[in-house]
Amino acid sequence: MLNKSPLNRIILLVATAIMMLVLATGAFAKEPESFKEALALAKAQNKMLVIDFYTDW
Amino acid sequence: MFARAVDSNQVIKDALKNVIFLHNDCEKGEGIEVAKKYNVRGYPTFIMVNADGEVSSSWIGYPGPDKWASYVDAGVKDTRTVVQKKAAYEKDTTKELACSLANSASANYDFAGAVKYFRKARELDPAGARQYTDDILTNMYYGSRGGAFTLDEVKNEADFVMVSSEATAEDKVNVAQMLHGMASQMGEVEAALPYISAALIASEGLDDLADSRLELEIVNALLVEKDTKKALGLKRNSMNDGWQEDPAAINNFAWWCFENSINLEEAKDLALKAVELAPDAGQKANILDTAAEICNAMENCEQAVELMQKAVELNPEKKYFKTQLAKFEEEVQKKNG
Repeated sequence: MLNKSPLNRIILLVATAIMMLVLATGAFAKEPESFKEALALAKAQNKMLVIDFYTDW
Repeated sequence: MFARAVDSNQVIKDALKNVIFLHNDCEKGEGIEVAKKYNVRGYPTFIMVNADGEVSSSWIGYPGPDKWASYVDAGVKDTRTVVQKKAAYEKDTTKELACSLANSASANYDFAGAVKYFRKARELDPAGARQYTDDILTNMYYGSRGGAFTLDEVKNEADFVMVSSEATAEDKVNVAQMLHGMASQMGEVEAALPYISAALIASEGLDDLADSRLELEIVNALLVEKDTKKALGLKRNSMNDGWQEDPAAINNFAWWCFENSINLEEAKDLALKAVELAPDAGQKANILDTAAEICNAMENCEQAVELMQKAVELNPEKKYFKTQLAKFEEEVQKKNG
């Protein structure tokens, strides 16, 4: 059984810790991809929405 | 500039932690519709809205990280809509409201409104006068193109900077440059000359301002000292190393000569060389237009026609070139007529 090996347990523990850290710092916070999604996020998190209107030229 | 700063600048990143942030490409997909919905007039424009999509503040242009972040922070502090802010402003005028409404007006190309609000902010917050005056002049600069301000109004603001003990040499140089641009557009370049002289005196010997100074010195030599030889020498000095191999730089130099009727022989030769150096048809056509104007100014309208025909061949889409061709052909007819 793979999960019984102590080494694997440590790896699993470390992986979980890293994942929690990443979530806590918001490094994976999702950037909205559409206007609708952005408004929904603003509502859910009770925040204002800043829109950057740009063009590539 | 903003695109780079948003990934690397800590001040901007901190400000963004308190808001949801959406990049909206105004030329792609739904981005086109969103830009239309908010009546976006220029790029970049930044608009802060609440979860219902109602606008609470907006500003046009990227004013550097600190100012940009301060606009976002102000928008987080006061989330009222623009309509509510306007009503509040009438009852209880604060510098924060004046500033927010000024930026919104500017983003909607209401430059006269922006100036009115920034003046109020300056009145309420004398310590920030330098910044507000800069904002006022910038809005006057944009507004003057549409005739929103008279030259006298602009000069009054410029005087405010020139006599201010707080204004730095850089402020004065900026004002002189702006005023020169506006006065030239209005066909009253003479009005800018006292400001240019004053800015040159204030910034004498300051290496940091050398490039801006050089531009003013060229105008000063041309219009105040009326020394075209000196002006030409200064113009040459202002060109970057290797400019004689760079078609865009040559075109800039040749056009300057044409605009000021100076050194036309050399300008023509250089422009023809730049046509050869230019990498694509579009650029070649643009430089051919410069060369044709120079030939026409030298009363060689036949060659102007020849060059313009080539420009039209290289870029048949551009209507302006056809208008130019017709103009030079008329000159030939007049000459032969």
